[in-house]
Amino acid sequence: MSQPSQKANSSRTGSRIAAVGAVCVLSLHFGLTFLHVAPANPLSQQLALATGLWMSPLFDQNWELFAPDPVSRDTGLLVRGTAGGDELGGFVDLSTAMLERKLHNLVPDNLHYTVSSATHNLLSARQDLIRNEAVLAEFPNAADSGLFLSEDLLDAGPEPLRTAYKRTVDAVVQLAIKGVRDETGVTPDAVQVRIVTHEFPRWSKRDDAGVGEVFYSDTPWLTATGEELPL
Amino acid sequence: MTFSNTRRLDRRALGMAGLDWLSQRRHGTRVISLVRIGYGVTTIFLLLINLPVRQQIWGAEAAYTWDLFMQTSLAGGQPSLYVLSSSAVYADILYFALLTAAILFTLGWHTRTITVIFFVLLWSLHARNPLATNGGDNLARIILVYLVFAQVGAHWSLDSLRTRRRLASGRPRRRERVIGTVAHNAALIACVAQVCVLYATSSLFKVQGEMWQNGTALYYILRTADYNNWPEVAAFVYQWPIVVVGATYAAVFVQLCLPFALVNRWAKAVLLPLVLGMHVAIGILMGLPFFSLYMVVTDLFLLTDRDVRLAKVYVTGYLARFGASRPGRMPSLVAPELVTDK
Repeated sequence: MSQPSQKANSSRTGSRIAAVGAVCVLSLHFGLTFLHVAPANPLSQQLALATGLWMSPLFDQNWELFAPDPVSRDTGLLVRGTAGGDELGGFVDLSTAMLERKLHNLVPDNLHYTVSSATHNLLSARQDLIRNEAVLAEFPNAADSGLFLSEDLLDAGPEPLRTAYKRTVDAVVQLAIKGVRDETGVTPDAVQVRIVTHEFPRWSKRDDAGVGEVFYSDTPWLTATGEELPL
Repeated sequence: MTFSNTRRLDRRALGMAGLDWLSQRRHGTRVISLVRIGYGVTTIFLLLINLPVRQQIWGAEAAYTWDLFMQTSLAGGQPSLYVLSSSAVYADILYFALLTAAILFTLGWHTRTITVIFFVLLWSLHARNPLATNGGDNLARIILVYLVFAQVGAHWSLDSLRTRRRLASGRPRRRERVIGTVAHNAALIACVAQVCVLYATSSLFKVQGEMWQNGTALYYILRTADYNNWPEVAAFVYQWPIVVVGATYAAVFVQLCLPFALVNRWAKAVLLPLVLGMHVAIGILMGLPFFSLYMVVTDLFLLTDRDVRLAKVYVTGYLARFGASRPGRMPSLVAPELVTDK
């Protein structure tokens, strides 16, 4: 009468082998996931290539939610355009309309992200480059660069940062073209982008009536493909 | 038998018990079914709210043009069904296909297939405009990859109705394959682990930040125009240092401690309501409804099926008492159904 129990035993062995396989996959996956999302450390730097290959694109993630420090300034996007050398009115404010869609709205749609993310992405892609060691080695004063980085400076930076920056410029330029077209009815052939940074009062001055400080930063006139317009 | 031998045997038995836990029975089917419904409903809600602006975000009128998308899609390792055509009609077809998939996913209709379709369509939408997504979308997308391997329709679904009808008609229960059981349980572990990795690393980044250390981070978040959805409320809140400092530190501690909710029931009883409350507050105060909903639903992975059944008993009991005040109804307490595996 030992046959049935033997059969049960062998099926249990099979299922245990499958379970061991699952444990191995889970350990590998979450080991790499942790290294991918944890703050940079010696191990994650050593395994960066393997981690990147394993995680991308299916498990790409980043949980630096409002960290290490949360955003503490407002950034607004203003754009203006020209068509055939004629200026198409003044700067168009793209951000305020988006903020108004959201204000006092319990369930705003996702449209506001298209402006705020494009603005933030441009600023952070620029930041990544001007703080990059390779760039700083060639351009010690990279931090003084404007919003739009020169080709020479970009060439000094590593490939992924360079492409990422160019893509964010392209995205903002397309946003500007659409913004000017929606406002004037004319499709511009060149646009200029201005980012307004509003540093509202810090915690210790939170009761001040003032609005804090406001800075402007402009790109040069750019073509529809994101290149500087030759003068 | 020496002492060390006994210990070795115990350890072996423990390891085997762990492997059997993974392979003998499907765990967490109620929690997973709840998450299925939560993700489905959130996605339906998101698609309906964005219906009027869908072409401006993911369609022919998008400022993130189809040409820009093509540079980041296939070339950037982000495949998407949107690569096939740039037309507005095609974008609408994909949008409404996703809406349909989300509805069927919620209802639990042929979940094996629908989970894959739902994931592919949601992924395609996210890839079409990376500017329009946030951490909630990202998390839902990753969890859906794991859910492809899980049985997500065991409860509160058309699939489970069909199974019940099948059993009632006297036909035998379909045999659960061992490999499916292992995949299901591994997927459940993956979902829970993903939640833990998220909170643990998020807090590791926060503790490095000066504003989280000095307890003022909440002030800056509340005051930033992008998140300042109710300026009157925010201005009122940041008049109270105890609220700002308390909530700032609480956010860090709750995130840091959340993985321990798995180890201790009391820790869970404290941490889970706190983290759910945090996400509801974020959703309302900062105007991030869908981020908040996806997060709240994912937090449910910290529950066990036992918790869900207990909650059901409480709710049923409460409803029965409530119903008893009406004529013609007898108060009744419905016991949780007996789980039989074989």
